[in-house]
Amino acid sequence: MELRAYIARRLLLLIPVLFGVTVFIFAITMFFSPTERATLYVTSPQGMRDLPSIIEQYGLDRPFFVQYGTWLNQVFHGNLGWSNVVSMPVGRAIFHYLPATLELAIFATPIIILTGIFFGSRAAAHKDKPVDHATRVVAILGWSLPTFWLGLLLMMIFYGYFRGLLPPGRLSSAMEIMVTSGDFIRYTRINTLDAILNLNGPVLLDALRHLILPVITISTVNVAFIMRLMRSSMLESLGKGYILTARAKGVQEKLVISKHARRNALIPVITVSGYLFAALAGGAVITETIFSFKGMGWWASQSALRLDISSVLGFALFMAVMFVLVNLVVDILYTRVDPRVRLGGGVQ
Amino acid sequence: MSKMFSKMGWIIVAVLCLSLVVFPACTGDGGGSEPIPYLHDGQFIQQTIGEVDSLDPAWGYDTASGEQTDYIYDTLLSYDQESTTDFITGLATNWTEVSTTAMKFHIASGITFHEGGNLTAEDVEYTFERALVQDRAGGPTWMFNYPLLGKFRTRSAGNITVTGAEIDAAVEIVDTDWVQFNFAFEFPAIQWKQILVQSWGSILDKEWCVANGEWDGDLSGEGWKAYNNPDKQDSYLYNHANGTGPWKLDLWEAGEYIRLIANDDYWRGAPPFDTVITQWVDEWSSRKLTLLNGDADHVYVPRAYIGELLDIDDLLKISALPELSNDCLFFNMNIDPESDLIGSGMLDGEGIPSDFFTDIHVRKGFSLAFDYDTYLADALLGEGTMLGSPLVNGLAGYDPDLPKYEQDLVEAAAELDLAWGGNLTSLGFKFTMVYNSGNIPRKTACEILAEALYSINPLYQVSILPMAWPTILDNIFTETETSKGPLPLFQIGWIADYPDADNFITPFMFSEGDFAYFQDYGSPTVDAMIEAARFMANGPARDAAYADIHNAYHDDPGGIMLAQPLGRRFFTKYISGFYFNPTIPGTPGPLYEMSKSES
Amino acid sequence: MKDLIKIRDLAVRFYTYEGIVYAIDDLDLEIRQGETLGIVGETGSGKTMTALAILRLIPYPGKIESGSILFFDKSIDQELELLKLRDDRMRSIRGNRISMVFQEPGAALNPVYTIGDQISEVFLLHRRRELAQRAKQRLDSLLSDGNGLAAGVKRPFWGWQRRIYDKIAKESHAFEPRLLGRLPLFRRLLWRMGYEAKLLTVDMLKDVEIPDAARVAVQYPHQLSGGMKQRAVIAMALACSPELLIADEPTTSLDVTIQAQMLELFRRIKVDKGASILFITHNLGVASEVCDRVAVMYAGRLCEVAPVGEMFVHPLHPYTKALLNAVPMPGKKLETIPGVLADALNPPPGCRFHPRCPSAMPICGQERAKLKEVSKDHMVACHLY
Ligand SMILES: Nc1ncnc2c1ncn2[C@@H]1O[C@H](COP(=O)(O)OP(=O)(O)O)[C@@H](O)[C@H]1O
Ligand code: SF4
Ligand SMILES: [Mg+2]
Repeated sequence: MELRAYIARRLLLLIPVLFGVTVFIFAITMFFSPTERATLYVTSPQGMRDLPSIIEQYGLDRPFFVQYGTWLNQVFHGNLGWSNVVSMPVGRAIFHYLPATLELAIFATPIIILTGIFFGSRAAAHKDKPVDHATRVVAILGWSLPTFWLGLLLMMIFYGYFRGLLPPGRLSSAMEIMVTSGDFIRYTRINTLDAILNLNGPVLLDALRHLILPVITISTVNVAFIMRLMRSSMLESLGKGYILTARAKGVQEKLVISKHARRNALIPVITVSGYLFAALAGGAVITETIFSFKGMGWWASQSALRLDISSVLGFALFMAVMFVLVNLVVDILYTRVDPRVRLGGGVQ
Repeated sequence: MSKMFSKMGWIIVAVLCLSLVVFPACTGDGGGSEPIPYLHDGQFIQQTIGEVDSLDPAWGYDTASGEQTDYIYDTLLSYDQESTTDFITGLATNWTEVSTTAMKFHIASGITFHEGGNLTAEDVEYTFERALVQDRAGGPTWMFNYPLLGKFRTRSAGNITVTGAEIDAAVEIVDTDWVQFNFAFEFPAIQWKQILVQSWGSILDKEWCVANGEWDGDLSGEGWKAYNNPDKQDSYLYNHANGTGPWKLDLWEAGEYIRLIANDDYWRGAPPFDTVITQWVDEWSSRKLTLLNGDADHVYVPRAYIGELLDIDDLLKISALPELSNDCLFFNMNIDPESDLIGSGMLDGEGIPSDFFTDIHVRKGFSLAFDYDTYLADALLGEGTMLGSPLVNGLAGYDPDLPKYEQDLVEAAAELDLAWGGNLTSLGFKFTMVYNSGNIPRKTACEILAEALYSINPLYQVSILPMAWPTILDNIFTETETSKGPLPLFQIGWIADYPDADNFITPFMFSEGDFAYFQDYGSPTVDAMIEAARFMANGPARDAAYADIHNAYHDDPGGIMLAQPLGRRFFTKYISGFYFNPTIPGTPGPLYEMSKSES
Repeated sequence: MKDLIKIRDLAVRFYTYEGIVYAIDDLDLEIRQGETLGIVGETGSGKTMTALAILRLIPYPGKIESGSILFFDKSIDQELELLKLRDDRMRSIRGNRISMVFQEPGAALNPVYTIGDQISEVFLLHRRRELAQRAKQRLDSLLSDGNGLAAGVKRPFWGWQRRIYDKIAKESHAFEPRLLGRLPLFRRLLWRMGYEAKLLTVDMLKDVEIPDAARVAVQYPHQLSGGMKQRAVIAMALACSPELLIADEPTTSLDVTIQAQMLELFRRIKVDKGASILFITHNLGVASEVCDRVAVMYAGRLCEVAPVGEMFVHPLHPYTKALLNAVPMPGKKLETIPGVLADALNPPPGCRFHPRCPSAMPICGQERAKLKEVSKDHMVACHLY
């Protein structure tokens, strides 16, 4: 199928997906009573006696379809609603919090994928040897370490024990003042990228300094996943006939692994990596919270906790779009790695 | 090759194991023995929780918003240091009581707003009329509405119930530079001043507001009604600010931080900090390390973690601050019969009837059974004051010597024996208490009561259930045609709007009060006592009246008064000038009067 | 003339969780120069393991326990002990002097590389010097014939390339080219060798009667039919003109007409290339068509070895007879061999066929029968003889 037509078809598919997702989430929020949802707008016990008028003001007690219709109508007018937890429109909140999350994802995803692939294929190539066992032990440890524990541990060591070395937050306050002053243009709000675009070394270094621990934290937790997938995929690939062929041809063991086995083993890893990126782009709640690296995850979790429905819906819409796009990219990537795959046609 | 990687694998394992060992070592001293460096000269950086809701003074009703509003704006007058009854001048240079129903303030001249406008009496009139016009649901302006318009809200069932003329008449400019407030009834001047001094009394620049699409100040037609009860985002002021205060809004990055910069032309003199940064950091360990690294001058410390800072020398530690707040376990006298928290809904040992707490012996018995000392020790770590009524230390009328309940299981048993015609002892009861998930002090209170009751009689069975906070609020502030909400007992606290005894007594004891109403608690006699005391001038007579009200609560308890917590504050040792006034919102205190220096 | 391959006392075992699998037990066998030796036997009798043992590619957890495999190296007129060869020397034999064609052409080809790439790889592995020589010659002609501005500009560059190719041609793993081969951008300089390998590949594909060879070279395995794939695999195995071609059931997965073509191809290869072929099959009919001699295996042991005519006319071993009876032939009733193949985990003592053997004697259950030469070139392992 032609690439453009394929992309168009997949994007059209977004419409029912988004519709379904929002109806579903809206329906879930309806399990909360109007009063529960109204507490979002009340900030002190004194305000409680006004709950009925808040319910009326926001129409929280109207029938499901009326409320959903109102929301949908607003969305068609280009307004995703108001995110009360952060006092800004939902659309703006997405653009406000996405950069931090993207920055983490952009740094963490390659680290996760490359280390995962590297150690995963090492382990498979040395199945049942010490390196395999060690890799698996580390993988399981990383997988089962609670994120908050690891995050706190790292912070206590690198900010507490080595005083001030790798601080939490996105930038130190002096650099924050610099980037928000007139001379520094925040093109993307991704600090490292903006620093490069502004040719500002100190900001770049400061941003990197703040990125290290959160990136290590999410990477450690997620790398195990890719590593184990890569290991099993690699083992499967190593058992295939073409590996024996390659060996019978006289190919060196190193190349058997890196050329003949790995490329085939990568195919399932690509899918998972895509979803990993999409998931990371949705934010890492605990990491973002511990390191005050506030992004999508933090915003979404606050919104959910406070029953800020517009925000939750906005987040869901974003995630749905993200997953569909990632799916698309993964599909296109597939055709590059595996010649058997045709766009939209599955495996021939 | 394989050898090399197997080595690498083992190294990783070793590093991991090592870190397991290092972790406790690191947390052990937390770097506390090292001195805190002096950093960020000229800046005040604090880390706290609780996001600003809105910078619109007429909107904000949470401490985070109030604190920032206070830094940016000025009010007509201020408290004199620690006092909550003596005032010093602010934007008003003078004030007088015109009559028992009117008060006027002389507006200072020569003061400019951050954006350049001049302060005039019109700005002041506009500020308060705008508050009345806006009167957002759930907001603080009821404190203006009530004395000025005679009603708590400007709306009823969605319809506006006041006229433009009423609002216009409530606030008037007299003699060009005086602003006069006309009360709907006799209202004590001191209470009005206590209301005006808080963040909702912050003075706005009319021209600037109007120029930015706010209400234009016209009350003649119907036009003003469009500005009544807006959505937050409809107001320009929620994220823009233009005050006369010591600091100007520089940047508010929602969820991350708000940064203020000095107003060097401040009429009282340039402020002590060039920059005031308030960062929102949810994680306690992160806040703590930031403080110990000198990257913050002040952080919010939850009570449970106080112990982690007590041994650190380089900190300014302030303790035993009587905050104007309390917590109470309320009895619901008219439980929703449909509630699934009251077992069978009958007095058969398998539940409680919906009117279970109407029996005074039950309430007294419960009040006597509760172990106040353990609560104080466990939930407040010993830092709190026991209360006998809603009145807290720091309010006129509070008297620590008035009677209060103490645990006495024998007497408690005796009271419960008398309850329900003497049937309770043999039948027993079962019901469920809820607390908001994660709130350990409230959970502790539930457990203390449940244990005490069970120890009196194994048939007295209370189970405990965590619930989400919005759900609890929903279940408290609700009613049916014939009953109140489904919670048999509920726990919630009150924080002062302004430091007057009535602000605590009315919500708890007046039959229409914020809590009392949802308990079906209160009596005409007590209501009359409250109304009589409400507007009395402070003095021995009012103290006596509140002593009577206190005793009325003791004799007919509406809830188990838990305690008034005592606050603590932690700064680096470089900060000085702190004093405690319970009405100052937020934890840093009187920031304009404080300073930071290396010595 | 020396035997090309001489296998003695070969034992292959698998160390599995369930126990030790005796996949091959004391096997003696030789492959003569230029002959086609067939190995027949039921599935699981150890045919593939025998072949893989020659290549030293027994899969984990299997191991060559003992024995010797001698490979006669004509160029030095010496016998090499394959089982003791250094890894890199063994690798230079694989695909070069001994190559193998597997049963499933679909599985044997890597799905993500083109046919051309996969065949070229063999040349690039074993024919570096020759490829470099050819590249050098091509550069020589470019240098002498190249005219015009473009050639003028490129000339020094060509000269440098020529020098590198020259080095490889002299010593296939010379230092400088090896270093270049590792540097990401410089690696591209060696493209001319790949190009020469592609040309050889197309020739090779033509040689195995693939029509439109140039196009097939750039296709992926999934774009070819089963027969074409098998031809490509055979082309890959023949690329370096090996002295021994091992074909493990090369026709089993193909349909009958293709099978016939494939057998024709093998007969031609034998004639054209003069290579020895070890032809593994479980089909006696197929063996009879291409083989000079046939060895029959059962449960990891050799039962009978004989020239093909002799084997079919005078089968001696009861198992061979049973196998011949089981061959479907027109006008002959099909008999199946009663019983099941011996369990390799717990093989029966003595003669492994004795539980199924119609002529079994008491001794058969106790003592293993040695391989004896009963008549010229006809060996059998059975207590009957
Ligand atoms: N991976 C393995 N694990 C255990 N045993 C194996 C394995 N591969 C082969 N074998 C053993 O080796 C024997 C011979 O296998 P094979 O040579 O493939 O048989 P054939 O090629 O004659 O069908 C099998 O019967 C089996 O028991
Ligand atoms: S040795 Fe005995 S059992 Fe084995 S094949 Fe010969 S006769 Fe049959
Ligand atoms: Mg086989």
